[in-house]
Formats: sequence, structure tokens, C-alpha cells
Amino acid sequence: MNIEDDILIEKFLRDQLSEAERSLFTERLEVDADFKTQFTIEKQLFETLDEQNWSFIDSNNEHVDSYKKILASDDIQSLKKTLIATNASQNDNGKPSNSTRRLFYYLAAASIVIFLGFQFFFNQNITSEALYNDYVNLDGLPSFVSRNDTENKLSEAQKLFQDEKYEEALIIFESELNSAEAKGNVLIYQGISQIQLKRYSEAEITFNTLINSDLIDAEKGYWYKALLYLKQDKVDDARNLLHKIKDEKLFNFENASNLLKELD
Amino acid sequence: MNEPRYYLEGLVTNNESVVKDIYQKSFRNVIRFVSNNKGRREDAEDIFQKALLQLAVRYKKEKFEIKSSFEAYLFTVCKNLWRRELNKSKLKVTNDAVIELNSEDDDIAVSVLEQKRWELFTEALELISENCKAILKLFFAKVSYAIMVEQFNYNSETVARQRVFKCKNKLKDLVKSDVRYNELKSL
Repeated sequence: MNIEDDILIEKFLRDQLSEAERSLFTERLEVDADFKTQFTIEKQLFETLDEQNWSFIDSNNEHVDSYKKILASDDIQSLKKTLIATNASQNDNGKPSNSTRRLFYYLAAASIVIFLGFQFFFNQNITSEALYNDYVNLDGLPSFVSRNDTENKLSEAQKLFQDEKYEEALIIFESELNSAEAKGNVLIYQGISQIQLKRYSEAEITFNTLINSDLIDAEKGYWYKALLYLKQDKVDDARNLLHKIKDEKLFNFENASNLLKELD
Repeated sequence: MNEPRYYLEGLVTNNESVVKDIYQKSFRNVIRFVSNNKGRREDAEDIFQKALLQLAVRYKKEKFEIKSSFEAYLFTVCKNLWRRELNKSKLKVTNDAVIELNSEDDDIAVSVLEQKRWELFTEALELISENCKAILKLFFAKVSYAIMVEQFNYNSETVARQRVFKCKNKLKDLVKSDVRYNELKSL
């Protein structure tokens, strides 16, 4: 390319041409293939190497289509889910949203009133159980997304769980665990179902499995294990775990700290 | 397995602990960068997810090599995605080839190619002489020829212009002779 054309392209890209020059320029682009090739690489360089700018590519081409096909594949779609879950856990470290927190404080206040009431009339066993019921928050558990056969079965199990048909729900959770994507959630549901059925030692094994896994939800295992101890009135064991959750800022550490205050 | 490949393999196999590790190591820096550059935390979250998907898709298709550390590379990808985001508004007013607003998947797929082009061009810029690199950096940053004359002690603006012309041709020759350019030139 000669230096005149180079200057012309530069002026066009810097918007320094008159209206008339500009239309001549665009006409030439249409008829002069060589000039168009020169212009294209100049434009790409201008936009890429100017840090205030960016060189966009049009999505209408075969290369983009091939990447889009890969994006739609099962592997990448599962990765997307993991990214969303990991992002959410970074975001709040398991802390409830403002509205749930407000509700939580209300419930906590209410439970203290109940707790004080219980202290006069009932033994410690019932109060621990009341605290368990206050804190386990069954409605706040994550939902399974219907996407494939396994997830459909898990949604069905979740419905049984919500209808308090723990025995039937448990059978599905246990059989689908290995093929499930959201293993952490399955283990939580499984453990709570076992607690509701008073199979405490099985529940403890389930939560230990969760704690010792490399799943994103692993740290949630401590919280539910603490609730399991509470349910069994093993207050000291519960307290130890709650201190760990609070000190290491694990899942639900704010709730753990509030619960500790209530136990003291 | 080298360090970048460990992370890339972790992404394409959807390894939760690798993903968690990446978030713990890199996310904070990206939030800081985006917040310091006209963005909010939500923008940083979006950019970070798109960057990881971009890497996964690209690696799944062509097993590319990362020459720096994974962390540094990921940060560059995020920076470019944010640069892209900030320039999107300009797209609507540009008068050549109107680019339609894309879906998120379109955006990620396109960003793979844009990142590849950015890498090719910046690598080529590193290969030319120090003097050429310095003058071209000013040129692409839209610094006037008058200032170049001053900075490089040229006799006139014409001399400066000729120097830019020569250096730019060297850069273009390097780009064109790179096999990677075949895929990218017509886009």
C-alpha cells in the first residue's frame, strides 16, 4: 500500500474526512477488493491496539457457530451451573439475603421468647429440639432443577420431602446420589430426612461424607451436623461445632453465632 | 501436567474444587479491577463467568497453550472482556457494519475469536524493534504527529509519518505471515 492510501485510511478511522470524501471512500471499498483488504487489517489494528477501544467480530460466521455448539454441550452447561453456584457461594458465603435475615431475626426473637417459656415448664430436651426446628429452615433448602432423568427423580423426591414423606424421599435420594450433579444438595436432603426419621447415626455418616467431600457444599455439612447434635440434645457437641463454624466463617456462620447465644 | 493445563482440564471436566480454587485465587482482583474502571460487583461476576466459559470452550476445541501463569492469563481475559463491555455502547453508533446485539452465548463464542486476535496483534507488537514499538504505541493511542516529532527528535511531521508507516508495515507483515491470521483476517 502507498503512503497516500495509508493516510486516507487513517483519516477515515479517525473520523477526519469530509462528508464527500467519506462517501467516495465507502464507494471505493465496495469496488476495490485490494483496498478493502488493506482497510480491514488497519481497522483491526487500530481498534485492538488502542486501549480505549475494542475490535468487535460479527457473530455471523462459521467459527462462531462451532464455538456455540461446544457451549451448548452438556459438559459446558454443567460447568455453567457450577460457576453460578460457586459465584453465589462467594457472594454471600451462605449468608441469607436481607429479607430472610429480617425474618430470621424475628424468628430468633420469637424463639428466645419460646425458649424462656420452655425453660420454666419443660426440660432441656424439648428446648434443643425447638431450636433445631427453628434453625433447620426446611423451606429454605435449594431446589433441584429438572433437566434430565436424574434431576427429575430428585425433584420428585424433593416433593415427597416437602410432604414429610421422608421414608420414600430417602430411598430416591440414596439411589440417585451417584448420578446426581448437585451431590451436595442430595446429601443435605438425605441427612435431614434421616434426622426426621430419627436415624441419627445414619445422618451423622451422611454429613461426615459431605464434610469430607471436595464438593462446593462441603462446609455446609458442619452446620447440619451441628443441628443434628442439637436435635439429639448433645448440646456440648453442637456448641463445639457452632464455634468452629463461627470462627472459620463457614456456611451460616451468622446463624451459628446467634444460635450459640441462645444456647448460653 | 503444567499449571495452566491443570486449571483448563479442571474447567472442561467441571471439577468443582478446581473452580472453587480459581474463584478463591482470582475473583477478588477482577472485582477490584472492574470497580476501579466504572463497573460494579455484578459486572465483575458476569465478566468472570464469561471468561471461564470462554477458556473452557476454547480449550475444548483446540487445546491451546497458556504461556504465563493461569492467574495472569485469566486476568488479561477479564480485562479484555471488560474493555469489550465498555465499548459496546459505541457499537450502536458506529456507521459501518452495524453489529446486532448478541445473546450471551454469541458473546462468549465471539469473544474467543476476539481474544485470539488480540493475542496475535499484541504478540506481533512485541516482536518489532523497541523504537518501532514505542512510536506505534503512541500512534495507536492517538497521540498527534507533532508530539511524536518532539519526543523522538524528528525533523518534521512528514518524517514521523513515514516512520509510523514503515513500522506499521513491519507489524502487518508479521501478523499476515502468522498462520493464526488465516482464521481471523476476514472476520
